[in-house]
Amino acid sequence: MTIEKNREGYPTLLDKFAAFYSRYVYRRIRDCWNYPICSVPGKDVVLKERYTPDNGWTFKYTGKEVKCINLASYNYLGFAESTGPCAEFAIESIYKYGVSNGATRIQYGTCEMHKELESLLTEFLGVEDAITFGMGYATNSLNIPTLIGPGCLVISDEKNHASIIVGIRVTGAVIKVFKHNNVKHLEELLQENIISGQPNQPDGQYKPWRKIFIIVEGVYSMEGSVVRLPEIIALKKKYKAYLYLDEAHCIGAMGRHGKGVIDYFDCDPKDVDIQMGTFTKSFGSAGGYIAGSKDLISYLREHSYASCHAWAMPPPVAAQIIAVLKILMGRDGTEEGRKRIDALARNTRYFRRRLRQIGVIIHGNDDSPVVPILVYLYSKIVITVRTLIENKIVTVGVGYPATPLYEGRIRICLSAAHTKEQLDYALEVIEKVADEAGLKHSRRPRDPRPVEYDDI
Amino acid sequence: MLDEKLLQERLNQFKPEPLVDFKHDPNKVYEIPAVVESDDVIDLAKTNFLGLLDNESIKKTAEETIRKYGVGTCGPRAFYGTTEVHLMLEEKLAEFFKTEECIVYSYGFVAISSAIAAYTNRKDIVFVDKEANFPIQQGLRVSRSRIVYFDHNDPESLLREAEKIKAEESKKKPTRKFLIVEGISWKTGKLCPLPRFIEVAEMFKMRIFLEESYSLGVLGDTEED
Ligand SMILES: Cc1ncc(COP(=O)(O)O)c(C=O)c1O
Repeated sequence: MTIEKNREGYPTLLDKFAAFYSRYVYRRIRDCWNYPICSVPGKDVVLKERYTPDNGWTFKYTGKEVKCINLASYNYLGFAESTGPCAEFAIESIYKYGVSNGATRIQYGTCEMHKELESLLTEFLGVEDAITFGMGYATNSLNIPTLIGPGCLVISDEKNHASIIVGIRVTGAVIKVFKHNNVKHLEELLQENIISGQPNQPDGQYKPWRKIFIIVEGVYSMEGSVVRLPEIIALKKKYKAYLYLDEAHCIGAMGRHGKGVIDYFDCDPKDVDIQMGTFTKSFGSAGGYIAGSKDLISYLREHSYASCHAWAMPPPVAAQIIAVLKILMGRDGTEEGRKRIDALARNTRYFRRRLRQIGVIIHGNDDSPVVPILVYLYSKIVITVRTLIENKIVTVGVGYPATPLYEGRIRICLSAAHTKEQLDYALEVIEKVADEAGLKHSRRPRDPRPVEYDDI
Repeated sequence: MLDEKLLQERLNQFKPEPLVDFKHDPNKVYEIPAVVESDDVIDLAKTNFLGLLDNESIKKTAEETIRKYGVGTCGPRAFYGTTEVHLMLEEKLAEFFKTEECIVYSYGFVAISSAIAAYTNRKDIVFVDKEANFPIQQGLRVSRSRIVYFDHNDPESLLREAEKIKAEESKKKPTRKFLIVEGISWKTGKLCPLPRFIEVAEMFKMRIFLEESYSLGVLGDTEED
């Protein structure tokens, strides 16, 4: 943390509140975040040990490395790996294609890797076509503005990711926000706005919307909740809206075949007009995709800011995803994909049930690998994160401004790579912290029967 | 109360436009593929100003990095996504630019729009070139600052606009001001007269964002200017 120099007489760079907050709230607890690592973020992760001699103004490294159980990374299927077929394939691609193609997709940057990736993905998702981009965030923020424009209505879940919000803010469309996963509120907004039509028409004339878009995520990364997809599909059909679904945290991680939340609910992929997702989580890579009809995808190939101006996805990044897709689709001739999908589902259910027995409040769907434990207060986030690190377990603390001030939480992401022993040890430590810090807030009756890992 | 009848009527009338106004043409090539180089084909289409794309030692380093860290980081910087490699890169870049610190983003477009939106808000005034690129515009829309345009690459036009704002503000507490310029313009390819822009910015106590997507590593004779 630093304070700006050489700007005498300038209005301050940070507002009063931001300056106060960053220096006297966040600074004192910022050891809970941004911990550097020196290994692959797998089932374990190695921290570059650090300490702060001045309560968070600066950090120093001890030179030691500390191995911890990793309950923090979005490594749902355990594909964050530095060895094995995916890493080898990525390395091979570096020598064949280089680390970058040095060009855009639309002009001279599209290589065999992209073609192969997109055709596998198209098949995996059961769509007509798919296009990929170098970053998940940009997949939302740069493509939404090419699909939605003035005269359109966007109805967006209040917990939607920043990349979606940035994308819709520049469209010129009217934006309405519905309460998180609240289908009733969504329907009310659809009805009200279909009745009112476009605002500010001359002489109060009625002018229908050009298009209506509903934008939701599959699994919400701070809530652990799963979108109520079948009901939302029914609404979008009834009210002639288009559905944009961001599957960043569920592609690979949900559904019997790992095909995300559409697979989980057994919905028809054709009922989701725009399927979006990222490769940063389950795929252990980077980048994002949009999938849907041929018309939609060809349009994006020609018009997306990310196809025309940004460099194509780097070949090794694409190679990692291709290798993962082949495993998930059983193209590698093994049962590895199936096993990982099952292991994640089992670890998720096991861990969630055991947490309920401990008596902490957890949010989200029983099958969601994202598990927020509600601790409410800032001080409790801090003591939990710190104590867990002392016990060689890393988790993510989430507080204001990412959540409302009094809805602080500890977020755990389960992985197919976690072993039962790791989970049991983590649960034991969490129970101890829950006792010491007072986290057992749940009034649900606890099921005393032991949870059998192998029977799940 | 909801007027059911009106809703039905309007819903029946509602004929949304197609998702995209576009028909896929199976005979069209939407993407010009990369050039495959051989003994008698050289790829001059890609951006490879310093010839680093084929550098074997860079490839080797990339291999070693994957062998230690894997390909992805499986998380944002704050949540165990910061590796030693990021720290090293940021340290080297700060040294190279002679700045106190540096932060890297994984995508150029997003670096530009996020940085702008991070520092500017609706109370600020941002002076922007009329030919500013899309990510700059996107960052500004998110920040919702007041935007004042000046003529392309023209510090004197900036000066005139700044004078107007100063007159407006004569009795108020001055607002925080920013200037955004591009080293080489994405849209016109022209080089920006930076020294004069800095002079004007200092006169009006503006902080400067300098966007160097096309000028970094290309201009300057010591590799660093
Ligand atoms: C719902 C959602 N969409 C998009 C993104 C952006 O993806 P990426 O991190 O790959 O840029 C994220 C990632 O954090 C996300 O959670």
